[in-house]
Amino acid sequence: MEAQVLQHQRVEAELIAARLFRFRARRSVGVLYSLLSILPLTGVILAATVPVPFAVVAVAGGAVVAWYVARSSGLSGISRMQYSLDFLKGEKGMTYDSNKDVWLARRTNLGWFLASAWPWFGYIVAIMEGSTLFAAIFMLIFVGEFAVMVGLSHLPKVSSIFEWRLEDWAFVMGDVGIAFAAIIPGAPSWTWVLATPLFVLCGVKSLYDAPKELALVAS
Amino acid sequence: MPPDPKEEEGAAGKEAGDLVSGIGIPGPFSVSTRVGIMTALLGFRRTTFTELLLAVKTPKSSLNKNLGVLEDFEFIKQRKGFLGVAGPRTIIEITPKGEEAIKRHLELMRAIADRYLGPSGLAGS
Repeated sequence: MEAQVLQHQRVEAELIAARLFRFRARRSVGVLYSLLSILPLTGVILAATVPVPFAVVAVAGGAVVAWYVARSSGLSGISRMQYSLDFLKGEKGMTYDSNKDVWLARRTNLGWFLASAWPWFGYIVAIMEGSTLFAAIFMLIFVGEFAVMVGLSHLPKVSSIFEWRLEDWAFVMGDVGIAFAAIIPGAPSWTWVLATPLFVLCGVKSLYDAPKELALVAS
Repeated sequence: MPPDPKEEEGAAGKEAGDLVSGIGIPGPFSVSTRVGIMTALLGFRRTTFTELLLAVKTPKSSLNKNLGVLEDFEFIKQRKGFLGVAGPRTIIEITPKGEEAIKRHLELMRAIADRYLGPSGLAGS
């Protein structure tokens, strides 16, 4: 009987934590999309006004700033949050150990970042070198890596905090679609500007939906 | 000299027994809302009063009371602070003492669930 009471307490605690974790994850993704929306427009303006290498460095710097701001609004704690939830569900043997697990989380985060970022650098360099073929190859590599990432994130024991939604698909697919469109011969130089309204929509949708996560009820 | 594993297991078992027999007796974790708040803070270290209010779905006075209890045990710290353009907010932070306490409590809850309900008791949630 007492064990049942504790079990009920555990389930309720899990629900409260899950609401806050999911809210934070969705909000931070919304912040990331919104901040990134400035970059395509800025990049096109800079590319037309300053030497291309400067424009690339400015856009890459802007992306890193956007990443850090998003981290401070919740993106950085996703591993720790997921770990706490997994523990409550019985999928992890111990609570989060900030000495040991932080390195595991950092390695994982860095691995995901490098895996998703390097084809984009390859794409940019290929465009600067005027090779649309290599740019297309780098984009195909990104699509392949992305498919693996999504496959991994749908494994049963991975992430119940962050779930893929329409806006996330639109963000990634829109990126790839515009990247391919931009290297089609004869494509206007402002093609990447199309990403700005798309990112704004994705960001606003995520930020609008984030508070709804706080209404999560037990399934 | 390393601690005797049997002795350690016995101590953990006694603690788990105390947790079970202590249900209903007022304590920092006798209310599930407080366990939920501390579990969430274990995940992201600090939050605001408004966020908690929306997540725990209790009246403001009840949340204030629960936070007061956790603060009395020095498990959390409350302070006024500014968050960007959002204006002044009550910020709630977990303390190292609170972190250790909630970890211990969650581990005991888990041990009890494993012992009395079996692994299936966790799988259903």
